[in-house]
Amino acid sequence: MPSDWGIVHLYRRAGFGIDLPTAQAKTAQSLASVVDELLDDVVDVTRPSFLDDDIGDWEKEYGLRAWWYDRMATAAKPLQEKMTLFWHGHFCSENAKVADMRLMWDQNNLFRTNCMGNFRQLVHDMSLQPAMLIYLDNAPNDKEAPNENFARELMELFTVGVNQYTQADIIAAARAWTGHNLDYDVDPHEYIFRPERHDYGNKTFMGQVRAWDGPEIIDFLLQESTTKKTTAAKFMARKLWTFFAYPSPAQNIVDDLAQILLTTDWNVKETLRALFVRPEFYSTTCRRGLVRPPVDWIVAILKATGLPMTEPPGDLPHFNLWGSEEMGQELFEPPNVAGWKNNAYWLGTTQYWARASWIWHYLWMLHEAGFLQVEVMDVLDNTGLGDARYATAVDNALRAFGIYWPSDNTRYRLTHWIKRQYEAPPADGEWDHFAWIFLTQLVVLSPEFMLA
Amino acid sequence: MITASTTPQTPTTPERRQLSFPGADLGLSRRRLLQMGAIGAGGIAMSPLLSHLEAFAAPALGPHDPILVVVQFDGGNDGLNTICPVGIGHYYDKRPTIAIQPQNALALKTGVGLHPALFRLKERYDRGWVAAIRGVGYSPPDFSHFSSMEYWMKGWGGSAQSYPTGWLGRYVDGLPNSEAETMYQVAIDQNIPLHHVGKKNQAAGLPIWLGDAFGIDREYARDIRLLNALSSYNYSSTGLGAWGDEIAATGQSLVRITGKIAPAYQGTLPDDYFMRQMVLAARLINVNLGIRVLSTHIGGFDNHASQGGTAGDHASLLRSFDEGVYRFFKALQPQWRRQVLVMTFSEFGRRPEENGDRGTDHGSSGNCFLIGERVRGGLYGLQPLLAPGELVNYGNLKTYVDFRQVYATVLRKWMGADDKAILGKQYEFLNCIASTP
Repeated sequence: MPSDWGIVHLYRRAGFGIDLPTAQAKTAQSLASVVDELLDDVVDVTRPSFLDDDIGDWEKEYGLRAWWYDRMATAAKPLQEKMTLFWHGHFCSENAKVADMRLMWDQNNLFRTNCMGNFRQLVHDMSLQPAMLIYLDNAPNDKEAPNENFARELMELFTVGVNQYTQADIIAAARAWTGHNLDYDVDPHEYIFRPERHDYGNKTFMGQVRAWDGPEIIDFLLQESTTKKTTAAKFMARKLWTFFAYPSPAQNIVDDLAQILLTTDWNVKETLRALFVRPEFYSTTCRRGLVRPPVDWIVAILKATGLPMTEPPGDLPHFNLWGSEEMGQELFEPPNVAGWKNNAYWLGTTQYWARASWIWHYLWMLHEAGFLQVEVMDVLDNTGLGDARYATAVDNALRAFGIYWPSDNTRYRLTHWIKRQYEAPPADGEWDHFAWIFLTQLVVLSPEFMLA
Repeated sequence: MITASTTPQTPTTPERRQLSFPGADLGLSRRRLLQMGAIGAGGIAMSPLLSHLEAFAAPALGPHDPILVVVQFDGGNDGLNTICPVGIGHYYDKRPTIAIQPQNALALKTGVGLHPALFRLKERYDRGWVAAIRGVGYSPPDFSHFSSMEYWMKGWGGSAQSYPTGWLGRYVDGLPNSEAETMYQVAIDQNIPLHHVGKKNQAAGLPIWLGDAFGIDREYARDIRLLNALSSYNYSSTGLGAWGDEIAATGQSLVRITGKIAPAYQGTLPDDYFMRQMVLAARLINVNLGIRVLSTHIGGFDNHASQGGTAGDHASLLRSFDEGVYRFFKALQPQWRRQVLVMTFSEFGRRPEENGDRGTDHGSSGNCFLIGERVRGGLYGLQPLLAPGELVNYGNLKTYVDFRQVYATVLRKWMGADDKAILGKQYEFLNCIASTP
């Protein structure tokens, strides 16, 4: 039977968090059935109608970003959104180049609906979507002058990894992908195959002389060639483990998960099932193994406060999207085709600073919305509790942010600080309110909340 | 003060195509060292006397200390359309739509001209302050952005490293007290790129916009207390492992840095993303925080399509670069001008033959500019030859200067450093730096 912290950990990684009573209720189930619930069928999502409104594309981008944040914070199937985020960082496209959020939505929703399906099929499907055709320049790829961009990244970043091919293989693959273009005459643009631009000639790819066509490259890498298929399975197993658990996994973990990808013919759901029940996933190494990426961190704050990212009608408080780019992770704008990295990647001064500044802007808003009034402010004002009220207020604030087992260090530093605010207040007044709102600042920057 | 949330002016088309290589693979061992240092510092900070926010910057620079500003062209800058072989038939044969015509180029000598967008750089060149190095790369070339950038950023010619470090990081490792100094090297608005990764020193990443940024306003005692509390997470081990400790150390480091840099962000800054970085770089140098190495970046050079010639995507980027360097020197206080060297680089050049989309695919050799008043101006390297027999590796340019020769020259002749130790091998110097500052 799983422990309560084990379920909290699982839901932090496979979703965006869980409240303690719900986690505790699940301890009566077996781990396998808890994982089954997470992996349960994905749901269809209604396409946001504003994508068709007569508004600027940047407004749509802003809107869809807010929409997705709120969805991550509230989705009944959090793993579906977590996997959508994983694929977004794997098969990257940037709207800065694609420049049409309707196409970005199509890609995003492909990831969402096929997030735990067949990987090979997903590679096929995303390859021929307009967002990818534009982003990696296959849209104009013509036999008269093959463009190597997509052919290269398909291998280097999407399937087998770097150094698993030669420059000659890339040239051959680029020729194979010629003619798989974009129809610019329709709005929104659509995929079109242009026979007159496709190179029907023989090409030598990975030592095989054939009249290769683009999609056959994918099937060779992920189906026909045992060597390449195995390499790709390990590449993907490592990437999934790194995303959900921690970087640099032991080889046996990679091999085991890769084996599942191979024996199930690329079934992602079965691979995740195996991943989430492994004992290593519940190890100390794992629990301490990942810094929380900015999107996760923001979503956890949305969940904790209950405030949305999408602007509600009227004057109601809500968060805002600015700042995530400086944190290093902006939805629909990955930094490049290789996507986001992890851990130290999020801990540059700039990135950390952006998080600190982002929440800094909202402290008064949270104060005015009465956030933590009962849990913190009322407790601090209840002098009848004596000194115990400081630790209680701190524990309540931590709990509100999903930190149920704080470290001694964090608890001690916060209690020490808040006690001083009350017993030796600074001379500039309103210290009680500042103690309350600054506590939120300190909690979201605590090591516990900054770890995934 | 905290104010109601306002939307700050951020660049509308952000360019973040930087490369960085953090990740646990290389991060942790370096960070463990840092963490040990941080715990040491924490012990001191616990004492009431020192619990105030102490001034924190690397030692200030004297009048003869060198500063290096590294400008990264992300995506693979097209060397042939930057320093152009004007009037050479093969160039026009291979690039029917994007070649720079002789009458448009800024002539450097017969058959060699700068892209017309670089007209301010040309003025500087004419004063003898620009070394234009051509045919720079390595052999055999790697056409992957990521592998090639990694190669450039490592800048290592020795036997395999136990974990990857960057050439600038190894340089800074050799400066006094490099374990603790957080302002020796600064990357503006990006994740810390691999070239700044040392074994001992950690670079600071600074943003391009401060606005109401956390930690800047310290008018009230309550704000100081908050900052102290944030630092206090790092006063002892967090008990949450290496990354938990690293998070705490980053918080403390931020508190220290914000206290020092605020002056550089006062007043208006250009809207253009690269120009903004360069003006900030100049201001950060002006306030003398002890910064030795600073890096900026300009992205979008992966011009597989719509690259254009005198107009187009590539021309726009070069224009932004040109103006950015101009604004940098303009914003720099005069006493610093002889102490600063600007160096440009990119992960590779591009294919001599244009593709069908008015663009170019990944290539091999490109070029580097060294810009500064102590430079021995002129052309270096060799204008890459374009005749069929001169092209190698699927129609690509030969390499005439190993990029580590440029590094060796900068390290030895400008920084006065032990280039051989830093690069792992002795490379032949170029004669393009007149003297150290």
